[in-house]
Amino acid sequence: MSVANFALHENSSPVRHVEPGGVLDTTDCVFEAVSDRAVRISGMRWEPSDKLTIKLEGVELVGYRAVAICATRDPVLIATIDPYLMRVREIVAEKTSAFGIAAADYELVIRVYGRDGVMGALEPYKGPLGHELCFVIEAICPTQEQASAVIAIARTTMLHSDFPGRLCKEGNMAIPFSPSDLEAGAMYRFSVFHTVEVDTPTEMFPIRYEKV
Amino acid sequence: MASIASIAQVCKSKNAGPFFFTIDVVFEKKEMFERVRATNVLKAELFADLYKVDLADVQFTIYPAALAFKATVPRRIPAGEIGDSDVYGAQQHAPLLAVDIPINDLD
Repeated sequence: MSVANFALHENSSPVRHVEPGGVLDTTDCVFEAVSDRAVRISGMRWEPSDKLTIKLEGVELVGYRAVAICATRDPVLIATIDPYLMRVREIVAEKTSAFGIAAADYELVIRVYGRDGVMGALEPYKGPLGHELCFVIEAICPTQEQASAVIAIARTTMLHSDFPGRLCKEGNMAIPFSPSDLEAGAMYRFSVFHTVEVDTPTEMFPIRYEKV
Repeated sequence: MASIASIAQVCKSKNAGPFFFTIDVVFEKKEMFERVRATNVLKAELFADLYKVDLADVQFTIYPAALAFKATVPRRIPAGEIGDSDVYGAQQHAPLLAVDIPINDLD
């Protein structure tokens, strides 16, 4: 059973395994325990394909990231958090523009942990929020220097912007450490996820021997 | 009725490559697996609904060898892309936990 479970791991199908020379079909596979340590697996089918294919994966540089973490314990702010975050975004846009960073040169992501930080748009829970919310704020820019500047602007804007009914006039956020902003370095995205048709299985993997 | 959280041995999610989540529900005993299968609640339509994707984009497999149900759905945001919240896709299983399976209605 635990051997059969391996077929589930990080696979889109437990029974259709696309390999360079064909598809391994394990639909009718039988797993038998031969002893405490040995398993007999039978019933696999191999469907050869006409072409040999090799999968390619690769990434490209998106930019550089800076991060700040902060949290609120203010019930008035929690009750009005969506318009507040919209306002923060507007103020950050004004300040970064005045600072000389164009809107096209930064991405600002504000994750709201305690609401939908884990699942985002897929979060089905729409009930009341808890007594505190944590924000992981992220700026991505062409250079680390720009990302650090944008995150500094975003962090102070989160800390000090006004909202209706605001009593906490010294600051809206608990910031867990100082310095409060973290440089997270280069960020990459998947840009190559393709299959290549090849004539021989080894042509893309040349081996060169050297005497040293 | 019984929630998946109360009857499954495993309920987990993970990436299946950078553009898909795959979600597995595994049962410990064949008897429970068969009772759940007989209710026909775990099917592609359920995953399309929970993960807000088109039914045609759900790859759903019942895998008796592991007493498992598996669904693979496209991610809204690829792993590691700007705005992704779960690079390894390991915490996208929760909507399934509360799904009720009417196993007792069959008795």
